[in-house]
Amino acid sequence: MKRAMSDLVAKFQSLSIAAPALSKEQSAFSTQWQSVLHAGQVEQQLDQLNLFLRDNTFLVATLQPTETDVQLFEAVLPLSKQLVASTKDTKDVYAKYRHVFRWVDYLQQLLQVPGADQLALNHDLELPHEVV
Amino acid sequence: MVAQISFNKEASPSNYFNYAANLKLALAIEYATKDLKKIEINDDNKTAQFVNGDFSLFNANAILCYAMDDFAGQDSDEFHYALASLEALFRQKDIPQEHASECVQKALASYLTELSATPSSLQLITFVNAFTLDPEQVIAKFPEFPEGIKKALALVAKHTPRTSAGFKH
Repeated sequence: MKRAMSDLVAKFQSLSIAAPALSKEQSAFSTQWQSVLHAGQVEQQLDQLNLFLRDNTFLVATLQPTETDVQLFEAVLPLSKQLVASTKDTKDVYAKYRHVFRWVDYLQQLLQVPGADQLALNHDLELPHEVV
Repeated sequence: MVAQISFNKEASPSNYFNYAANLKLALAIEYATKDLKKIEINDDNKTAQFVNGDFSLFNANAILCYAMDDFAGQDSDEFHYALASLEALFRQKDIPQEHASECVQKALASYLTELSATPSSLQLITFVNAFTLDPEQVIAKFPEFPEGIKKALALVAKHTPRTSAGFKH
């Protein structure tokens, strides 16, 4: 039995971005993020997500986004908006989750999320250098 | 480069979460494919992790699937149920035991109908999540576990700190 597809996943599929053949390592990344998503651990794993996106453009270490990116994005978008809205120290939040926000911003443009629902980012904010 | 696994030795987020993660890691060691047979246990790291050169994973389900090189069934209802209905309970402060038992009962009736000597990664994920929530019910259905699971249970007992708070194992 197939579960209902979300509007964003349907929109992503309409973009005709070919699903790449995954290596064993990429399949494991996919399992990792699907597990985080389905077990309701996205908020708890936001630091891990940021760390992963520091070293990878997308969640399955592919050159283009996959459905896993879109499914996680649906959960991360409201969390990101909440993070930015609930602090006065915006710079600190931007610095801490800079890679998550980069990824969210790319996907919200790609999926043409309506302006009012987007994470509003100040691209002129000067962030401190990242200590790796 | 020898692959390394470290078990979760932290007290948080919950005993259920830690036990399930560690049992999956122990099963990853027991059921690893031949190319990964020499997995070392790294006792210095205190969180669940698999490292092989530059490649690393922090999620126990992903580590188990990677070690077994078995990613089948992840778009199935069983995978979704094992995570969204069973594993999602592990982080709750007070797990409603009656509800957990009902969920385990459904998992045993609908998905975990058998436990062969060579189970799939998906069967093992469902097994661990059900066993963690309600071991008595799982043992009642499967009085004799396959050898790999028995060895993994012995291994996880050595590597999971024992605490008393509301935990059946």
